[in-house]
Amino acid sequence: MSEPAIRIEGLTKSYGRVQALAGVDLSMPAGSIFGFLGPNGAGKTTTIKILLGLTLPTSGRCWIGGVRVEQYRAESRSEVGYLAQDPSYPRWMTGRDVLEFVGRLYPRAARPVAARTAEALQLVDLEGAADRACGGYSAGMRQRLGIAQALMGDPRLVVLDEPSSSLDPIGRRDVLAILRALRSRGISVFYSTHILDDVERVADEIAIMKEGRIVRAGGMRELTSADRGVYRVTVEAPADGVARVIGAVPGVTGVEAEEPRDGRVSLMVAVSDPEEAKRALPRAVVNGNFVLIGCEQARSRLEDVFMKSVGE
Amino acid sequence: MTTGESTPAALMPGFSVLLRKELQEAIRSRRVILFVAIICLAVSLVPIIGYFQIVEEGTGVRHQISADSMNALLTGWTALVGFLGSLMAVAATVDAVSRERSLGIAAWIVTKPVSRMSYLGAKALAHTIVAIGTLVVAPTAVFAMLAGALFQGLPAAHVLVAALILCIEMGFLSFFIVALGVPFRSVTPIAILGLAVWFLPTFVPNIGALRWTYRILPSYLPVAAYDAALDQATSATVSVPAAAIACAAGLFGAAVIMFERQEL
Repeated sequence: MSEPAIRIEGLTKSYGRVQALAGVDLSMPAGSIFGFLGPNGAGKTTTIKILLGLTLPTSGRCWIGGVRVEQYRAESRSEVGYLAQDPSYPRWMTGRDVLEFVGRLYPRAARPVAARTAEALQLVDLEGAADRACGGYSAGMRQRLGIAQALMGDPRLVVLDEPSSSLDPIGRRDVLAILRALRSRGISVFYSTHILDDVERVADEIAIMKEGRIVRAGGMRELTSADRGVYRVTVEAPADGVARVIGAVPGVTGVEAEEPRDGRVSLMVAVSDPEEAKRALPRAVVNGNFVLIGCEQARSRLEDVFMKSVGE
Repeated sequence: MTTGESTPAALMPGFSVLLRKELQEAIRSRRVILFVAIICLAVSLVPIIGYFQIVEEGTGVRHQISADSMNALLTGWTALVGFLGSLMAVAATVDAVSRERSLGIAAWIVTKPVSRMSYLGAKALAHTIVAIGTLVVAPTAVFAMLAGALFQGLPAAHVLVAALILCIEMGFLSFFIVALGVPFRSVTPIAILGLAVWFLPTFVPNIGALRWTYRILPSYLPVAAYDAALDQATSATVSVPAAAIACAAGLFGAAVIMFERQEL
């Protein structure tokens, strides 16, 4: 079994009386995209800082690819690419200068710096601006340059802190495509963000932090899997009385209607016998003279999982 | 990727790459270009004014001047490079660490496989090289060329020894100011402390009463250079530069240890 890309055991960090991390345990499988979530102040950035050697933990241990971070910090970063939330570079450097500078800091990378630079520029679509001073780059361009520089060491792990926060929808879509491309090349991606929709689209695993602890962690499918005991029934509005009709179906144990939206009303229906409900619910709606739009087993959205986990 | 308990990496990984970046940055700095222009202009005035003064006073015949007049020229050169140059070296280095820290560039660099010692060391060495080149070598070359062209008897050996002491002064200042960038995030205390070292004997005159301080305080580096230039070398001419090197090494080592544990 391969080493986890990241392993954290009992990590704590205190700033005076403030405890930023209160015992974080985490394991990120190699080759996966790992969504690292949590409200502001949950401890995500502190965890990332410790992983990257930007600060020391109060206690606990971390490994990157099996190397203890606290012992040999420079070595443990040799195959790690990092994009900060608000990346900043020497203003006089061109985009190409930045990439070549970073490339030379990874002397053990297999390919020449020039080849890695050309490939990274192409990947983030910055070839046209490569020879302009990056002091004049827009926030989105800086973010894309940040992704490119994170890849210059031919890393096995990429740590991204809010990689799409400054990007427009097209830029966000491109970033997600880059993340998928990295995964297909076997690169692990540790991805901290507030944009749950992005995480839901690409992440294999997630961890949710709250008040310095991991409160929920697991596979994306597992956490947002279909709840076999709950159906989402959607009918055309107006639908006065539909809740009463559905509630009368044998085996239904609860009905909760959502606010009408776009001429539709959705109802979350809890049932005791999912197989029977699959047939009985549509029949009851049609027999009640309502226009049925859909009837499917409800799937938790990541937002629901997140909100439940952080207690909102 | 290496697994398990790994051997320590090289002592200063990434040092040469960082040094190159720092030198490129310094060469592009308008501040450095301005400083070198000012000090070269100021130093060039010393032999030119000296020439006209000698002609006016009749204290020498064009190419042959008295020892006192030559000493006056050398005094002007050491004073400009030793004091004005040191102020410029402080000004050129004062925000070297704090600026990159506040912009997040320091954090960006140290997340790469480089050691923090490499980061600080490259910065200090690059500023030393640039300060020596621009604030000692360039003005000394200008001074020597003009003085050599206008007068006979320029004591080249003494000038070289004095210039070497002034190079040590620039190195001391660069390492000292970079080291101060670790505990202080703002440039103001760094600038004040940098200048305080230089003007310590001025602000605290009692220090001068302790004779042994003349032999060890880095504040007396310009005086040591002056003594060497005027062939008045004493034991302090050697002990002050040696003490400055030891002091810079000690302070820089302490700064590296502190920087290793500092959050970026």
